[in-house]
Amino acid sequence: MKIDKSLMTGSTTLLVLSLLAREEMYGYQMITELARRSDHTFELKEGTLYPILHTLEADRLVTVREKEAETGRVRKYYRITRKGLKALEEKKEEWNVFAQKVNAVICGASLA
Amino acid sequence: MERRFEDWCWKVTDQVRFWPDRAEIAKELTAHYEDHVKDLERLGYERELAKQRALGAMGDPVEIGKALDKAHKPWLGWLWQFTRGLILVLLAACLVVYLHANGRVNDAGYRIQNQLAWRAPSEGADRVETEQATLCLSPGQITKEDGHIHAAFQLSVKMKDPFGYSPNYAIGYLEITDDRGPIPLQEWTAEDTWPEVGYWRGLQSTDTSWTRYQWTMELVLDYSPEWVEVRYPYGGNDWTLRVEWEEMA
Repeated sequence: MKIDKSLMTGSTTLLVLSLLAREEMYGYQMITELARRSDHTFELKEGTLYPILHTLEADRLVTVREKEAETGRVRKYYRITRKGLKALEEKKEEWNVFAQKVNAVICGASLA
Repeated sequence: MERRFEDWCWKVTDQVRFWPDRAEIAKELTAHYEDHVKDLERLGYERELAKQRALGAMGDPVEIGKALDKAHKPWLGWLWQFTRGLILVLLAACLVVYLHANGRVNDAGYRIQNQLAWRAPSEGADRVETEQATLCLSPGQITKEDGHIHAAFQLSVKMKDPFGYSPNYAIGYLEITDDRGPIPLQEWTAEDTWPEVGYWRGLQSTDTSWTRYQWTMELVLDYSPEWVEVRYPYGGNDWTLRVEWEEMA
């Protein structure tokens, strides 16, 4: 099932930080990983990932370094910072509260 | 097709006002696009179709470019560039001051102090002041070899402007004469055999700063002249220094 784009917009930062919490990644890797883990539910326009990453970098939630892959291609790898991990926890909390409230409303509505 | 991606990329970066970051953005987007094309080719897509799909997956270039522009704030970028430049200039200034304070470099960096054997001009030295320098010619030693007389002189130059030109160029224009007339070049040693001594006295000195040079010049003669003169007859800065032969040791 495809998700409404507007539902994705608010949560992409959370998704990206969650991916990076496990390991450092480059942009294309994040896109494929996101698609794989969500069973191709979360398929955002690939270019839109970079403004998110660059904003996270500007906010020092991630750091970036260039690394040469085995194929010889030089890629920019993103790594979450301590500040980023803290922000991730806050966003998760925020998300849980939001999901709870949405569920409460939806369930309340369906029960009514 | 490549052209189509280049156009797409250009549309993205064109939105980014802080232009120094544009190249890096384009590089990253290109790497992403190429990764995607390769992946699709691995899945069996024809190259052209793979490129088309990969480009289609990238999204709206203007929208992405505008979002990137927000992340690459121009004022922040320029402030960072300015700060970085300022830090570099300050570090360079500190390094120069430090090295000068230690007497390790001079203005141009090529006249390096090599704790020289600077010998102060002797008391009997002839001295002349010009606008640029103080020059001294000191009598030296006379030795006899193979029936020839070898006479050494010491020419000392103290340049008033420590940041001025080296007087090395003038050496080739010096004229040496004695009471019998000009001494041909062959009769005094070639330039490269004159041990040159350069020394720059740094700004930490209480004395006025200066640069000094010293050369030992050697004449090879078959006779003993009454006197020897070293002259620089050019450029309106002409000067003459004389040493009496009887002062030679």
